[in-house]
Amino acid sequence: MTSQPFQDAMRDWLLRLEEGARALSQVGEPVVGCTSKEEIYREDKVVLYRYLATPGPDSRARMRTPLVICYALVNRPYMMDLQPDRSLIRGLLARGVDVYLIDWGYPDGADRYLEVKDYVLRYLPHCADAAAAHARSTAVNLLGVCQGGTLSLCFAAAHPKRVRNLITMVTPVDFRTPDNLLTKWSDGIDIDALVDTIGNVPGEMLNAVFLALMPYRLLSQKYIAILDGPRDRAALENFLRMEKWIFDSPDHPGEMYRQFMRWFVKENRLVEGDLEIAGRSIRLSDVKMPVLNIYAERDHLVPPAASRALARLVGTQDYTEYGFPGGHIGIYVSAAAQREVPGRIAGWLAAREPRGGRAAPRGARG
Amino acid sequence: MTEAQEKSPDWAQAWIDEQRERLENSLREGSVPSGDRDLGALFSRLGADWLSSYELLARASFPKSTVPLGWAREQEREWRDLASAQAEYRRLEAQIVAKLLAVHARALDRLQQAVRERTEQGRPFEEFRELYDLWIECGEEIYAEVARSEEYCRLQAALGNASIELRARQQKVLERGLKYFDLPTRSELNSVHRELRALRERLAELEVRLPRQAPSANNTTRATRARASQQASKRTSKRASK
Repeated sequence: MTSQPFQDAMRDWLLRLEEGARALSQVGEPVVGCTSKEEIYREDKVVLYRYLATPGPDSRARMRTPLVICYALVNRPYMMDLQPDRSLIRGLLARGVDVYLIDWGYPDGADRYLEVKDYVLRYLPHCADAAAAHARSTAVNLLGVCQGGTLSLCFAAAHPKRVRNLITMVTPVDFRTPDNLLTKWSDGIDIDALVDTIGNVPGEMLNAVFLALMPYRLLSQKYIAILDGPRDRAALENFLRMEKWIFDSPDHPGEMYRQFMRWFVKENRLVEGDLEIAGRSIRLSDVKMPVLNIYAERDHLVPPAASRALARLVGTQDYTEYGFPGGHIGIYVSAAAQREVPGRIAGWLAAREPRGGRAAPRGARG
Repeated sequence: MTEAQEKSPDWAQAWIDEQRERLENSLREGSVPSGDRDLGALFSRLGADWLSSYELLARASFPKSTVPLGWAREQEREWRDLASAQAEYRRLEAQIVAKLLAVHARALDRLQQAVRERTEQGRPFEEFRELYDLWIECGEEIYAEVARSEEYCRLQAALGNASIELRARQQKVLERGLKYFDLPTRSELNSVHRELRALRERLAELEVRLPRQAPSANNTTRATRARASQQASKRTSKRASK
C-alpha cells in the first residue's frame, strides 16, 4: 500500500468505526437475566433463588434432587441465565433439572470481616438445606462455578452426605500449575497489607488484573471488532450484555479474600491436603460422591491443568471429566456451549438420580 | 529608636521587625476567629488551613536523618511517610511504563517483520483492519513473553505493594483530618463491622437452636431458614446416632 491508498484505507476504516459507534449508541442499557425465579431463602446479603420452567412441551418430569448452583464471588451469577438463547439455566430446566442458584449479592463495608468459613460452613449449607427442604429432598446436587467450585469442593468434603452429586465448572483446584499467570503475579503481592489497607477488594481492581492478562485484545481489539463488525441490533445487544456482566463486579469481602489468596492460591492447601476451615480439616479425599469436572480447554483464567488436578485428589470412584472446546466465558455463552453443556450435565445427573427420582411434571406440585 | 535598638546589629533588628509585622498581621480583624463568625465559614477556614499547612509539609524535602520534633511531630511524620511512599510509587511506575513502552516498541519490530514476510509472499493487505489485527497479535505475543518473566512479575508486585503503601499513608493522613472534624473514620467503622460480623455469627448459631415458628406472611424467609436449620439438625443427629 502506498501512502495515498494507505490514507484512503485508514479514512474508510475510521468512517466505518464511526458508523459502528453510532449504531452502538442506538442500543439502550442491556437487560440481563431472562428466566423467572422465586426467592426461597435469604441470609444477610445472600439470596437463594429457584428458577421456574416455562410451561410447555419442555416441562418434562423433573429430577427430584434439586441442583444448587454456587457461583463465584467475583462476578454476578446472571451469567448463568444471560439471555434466552444463552442460558445454561434454561438448558437445564428444559431437561428436567430443578435449578436453584445462590446469589452472594454485593458485599459492602459491613461484610469485610466475612471469612471462608462463613461461605463454606454457614451460607452454603444453609442454602443447600433450604433448597433440599423446598424440593422435599434429603440432599442436593451441587454445581460450583469457578471460585464457587472451589468453595463447593470444600463444602462437599465437609458435608459429603449433604451433596448427592457434585459438578465443578472451570474450577481452580491446583493454583500452582506452571501456566497460571494470575498466581505468578500474585506471589509478590503483600496480601495482608492489601486487605489491611483497602478492606474489601474492589471488583474494579480484580477486573484490571484480568484485563492485564491480554491487554491488547481486551482493551483495544474487542472494541474495534464490535465497531467494525455486524451492525445488527442483536449482535450489539449481545456485546453490551457481556460488557455489563464483565464489569458488574461486586467487591470481594476483605477477610475472605485474604484467606482465599493465602490458603488456596499461595499455599495451595487443597492440593497439599492441609486445609482447615474453622478447625475442621478439609480433605478432597473426603469428596466421595460422584463428580463431574467440566473445564474449558482454552481457559486463560483457570488453566485446564488447574482444574484437572481434581482427578488425582478426590476420593470418589465415580469421576467424570469433560473438556469443553472453548474459553472461560465461552463455556456459558457460546452457541456450542448451549448445545453441549446443559445436555452433558443433565444426562450425567439423570444417570445418577436415585431410582424413582423423577417427579411429576412441573406445576403438579404446589 | 531605643538604646537597645541602636546596639543591635542590622540583621537582628530586621528579624525583630519582621516578627513584629507578623504579629500585627495576625491580630488584624478577621485573622482570629470570633464568636459571631459564620460557623460554616469557620470550618471551611480551618479545613483550608489544615490542608494548606500539610500540603506545604508534604512538598518540603525532608532530610531523612532529621527526626520530626515538636507539637506537630506526629502529623509531620505521617506527611513525610506519605511523601516518600509517593516518591517510591512514582519511581516504580516509571519503571513499569518503560517496560510497557519497550513491549510496544518490540511489537512494532515484530509487526514490521511480519509485514515484510507477507509482502515477500505476495499477500498484500486488503484492508487497514488486517494490519491492525496483526499488530494486536504481535503485541500480545511480546507482552506474554514479558509478563511471564521473573523480572516483570517482581516489578509488577513491587508496584502493587507501593500503591498499597501509598494508599495506607493517604488514609492515615485523611483519618487525622476526619477526626479533627469529628467525622467517622474507616478505623471506627472497621470496629463496628468486626463486632457486627461476630454478632451475625452468634445470631446464626442461636437461630439453629430456636424452636420452629409458624410461618407468617412477612417472615417466610425466616421460616424457611428455621426449617432448613431444623432439617440440618435432624440430619446431624441422625448421622450421630448411626
